[in-house]
Amino acid sequence: MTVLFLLVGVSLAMATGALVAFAWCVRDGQLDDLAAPGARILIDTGEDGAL
Amino acid sequence: MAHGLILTLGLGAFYTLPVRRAAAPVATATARLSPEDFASPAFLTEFTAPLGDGRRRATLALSALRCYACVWLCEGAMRRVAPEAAFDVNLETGVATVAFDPVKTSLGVLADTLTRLGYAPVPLAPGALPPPRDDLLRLGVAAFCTLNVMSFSAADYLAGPGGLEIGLWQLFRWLGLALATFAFFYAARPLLVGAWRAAVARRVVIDQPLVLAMLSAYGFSAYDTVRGAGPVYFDSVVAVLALVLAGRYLQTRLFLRVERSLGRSFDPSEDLARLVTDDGVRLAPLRDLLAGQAFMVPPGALVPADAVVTSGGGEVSRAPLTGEPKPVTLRKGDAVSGGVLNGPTVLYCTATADALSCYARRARVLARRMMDEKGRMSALCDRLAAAFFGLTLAVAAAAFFAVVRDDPAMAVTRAVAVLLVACPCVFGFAAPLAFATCAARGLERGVVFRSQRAVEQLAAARRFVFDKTGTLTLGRPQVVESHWFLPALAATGLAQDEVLAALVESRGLSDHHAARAVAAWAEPSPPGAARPGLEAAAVEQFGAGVTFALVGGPTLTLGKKSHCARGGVDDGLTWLGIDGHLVASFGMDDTLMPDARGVIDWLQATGAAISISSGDQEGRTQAVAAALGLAPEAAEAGRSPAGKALGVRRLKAQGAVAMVGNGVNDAVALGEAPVGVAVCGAMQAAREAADVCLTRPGLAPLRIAVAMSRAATRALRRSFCFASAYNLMAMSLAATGHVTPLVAALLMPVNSLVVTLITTRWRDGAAA
Repeated sequence: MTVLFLLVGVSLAMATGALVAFAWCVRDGQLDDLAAPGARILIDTGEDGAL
Repeated sequence: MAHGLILTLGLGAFYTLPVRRAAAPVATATARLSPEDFASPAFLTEFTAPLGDGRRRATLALSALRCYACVWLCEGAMRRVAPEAAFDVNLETGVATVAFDPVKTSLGVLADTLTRLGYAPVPLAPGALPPPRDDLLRLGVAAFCTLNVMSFSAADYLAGPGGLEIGLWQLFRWLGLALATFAFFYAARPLLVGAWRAAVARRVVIDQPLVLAMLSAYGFSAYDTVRGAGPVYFDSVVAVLALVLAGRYLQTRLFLRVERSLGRSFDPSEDLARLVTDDGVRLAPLRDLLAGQAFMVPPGALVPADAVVTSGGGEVSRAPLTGEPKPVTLRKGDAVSGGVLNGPTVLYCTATADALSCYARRARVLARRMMDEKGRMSALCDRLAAAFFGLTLAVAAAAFFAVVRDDPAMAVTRAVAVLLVACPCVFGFAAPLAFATCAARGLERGVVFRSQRAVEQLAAARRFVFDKTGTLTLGRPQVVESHWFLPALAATGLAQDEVLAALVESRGLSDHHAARAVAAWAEPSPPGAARPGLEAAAVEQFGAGVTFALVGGPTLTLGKKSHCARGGVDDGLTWLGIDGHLVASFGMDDTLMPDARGVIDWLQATGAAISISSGDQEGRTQAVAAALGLAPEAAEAGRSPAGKALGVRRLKAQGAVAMVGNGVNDAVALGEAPVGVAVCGAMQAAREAADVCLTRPGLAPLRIAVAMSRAATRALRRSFCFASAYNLMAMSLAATGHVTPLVAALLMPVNSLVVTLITTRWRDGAAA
């Protein structure tokens, strides 16, 4: 059962990684607009944003 | 026009975008600020903020932003026009942020392009309404802790008492303590601070029972963890916290959208003045307009300060200040008050007092202060929570004292269980959910609820006080009678239909009140008649009227008699002249909103008392009251702004009052009333002072607002009743020692689910 101690540590580390990534996204403003990015991926654009 | 610009910019692909949901933009929105204004130094200092690297940031609310295709178009156009500026549109809030270098990029060009595309930008104060990033982060942390703590306690519950290896059992409890501590002191900090501040101010708010329950369960569980025995409730504590924060976050986000959508109708030109200096006209902040300074007022703008007209007099409307719908003519040397709405001509004036000291400005400041005061009044859910809080404490105390002599440890366990299963989380998120649902539905139907108190107070209002001009009536003269001089018309060689068609065509060419009213009147008649091709070649506006030079010769004049015929003496009628011959006369008067009667009747049918408080004359006010089927004593005329506010204050003592208005003269009364409603097209001062703003014309949205707020409040009360019954049952279980941490963890979600359904799935019954 000692492997459980290890697994708990690994799972917590992974979850903490996800939390840090989430915090970074929020501070970066990626979650400020939940409407436009979903539609943005539907349109193929070139380097400069043109079709 | 917008179409041509889209093609010129090489953005024609817009018309084939797969995500386009709405029609193509039409460039009809009129910008109150010209492109030159956007590029002026005063604009840069008032409406942009430095970014630190020499660039500045402007926040612009874009009108008419409907779907992602609009975002694509705006961003594409900005990349073409100003590739060096960073332009970012938030579709959810309808706000664009521009980071630009004032040396390289002219904000004027950007504003001009956006306006011509049909998305007239309105500048917002820098740093206004930032996105709630901290709240989201706290919610994320709470959710993270909840899921992890739950997985640890699930292992414990599944293994049963003594099922887990002792080391692992201890580890799970310590990890639960660590995560709950993190959640408690980071994510729950705003709750703790709010509850503490309210306690210091000796007020009961909904946060306090919440915090007390969480704090006692947390402290008790921490104690059990340290001593290594007894139950722990970490999972329930963090789950309550996560649910409450989720409800609050949804509400914050929604009310942010509400304030942003109001920002779109904000008129920045009211905060700016156009000073006339030796170098020409200069845009400046209002505080720079001092007594003795010369300034100009463009057509359709508000006069920024008390002043004397120096040149260019014309017709102005005092309706926003006094409620008089009839325009008055200003001549050189006449005094004019700040807050008067300029007519179709340019006014040049000299200020007689500082702009910040004029009445309209002071009313705005006063109304805004009253609005802030109102925000601190005790809310319905706080009162309900306070009652429930007392009950919970009583049950917890009873549970504690019943067994404290025999077994002090068990007494504490039971008291904590009572506090926890009382499920204050319901009180924490039922109200935000009910009000956010109401506000979200309102936004779609032309009603903007600005706060949760607004919904509550509107639902409670049993007396409605209406302003007359612009609220119950259209607020500008309409044609009520017409008289044609057929021989004179025949002499001009034109048929009546042709003239009517020309008048309809003239719509949109002039913003003179007479031209607009006659064009609107000519519109419906004659139906289906062939329209001869009369086109206006040139339009000229004067204080006394408008002149249309038609293609093919004749000149149409519309306005005062002296404007239409040489030697005519003004008689209060509006005349139509063709080549100097009078052919028709129109009687003008302010008329009722088409839907006013229906809404008033409905309000009365629901038991509300109606009264009118107007600044206009007795006769006109009584006529409106009679047309609405109100008793003569329900209508009060000649009220000053202070008189209106005093009337509202007096009524307030007898019960809940709602004030409905539109003008600067209503602002203080709107602030005074427990709930103020500003109708569509209201002045800035009135909108700022109001708790509810209507964004569609007429009074029909008021009916929707009232019906919706009543339904939301009903749903909230229903959910509180349900939660109370449920909690009493759960508390009696807890007080008798039947609630273990597992039972607590299972009881809570059921309660929360039902409350969520009750508060979000209600019907308001108002016709769409």
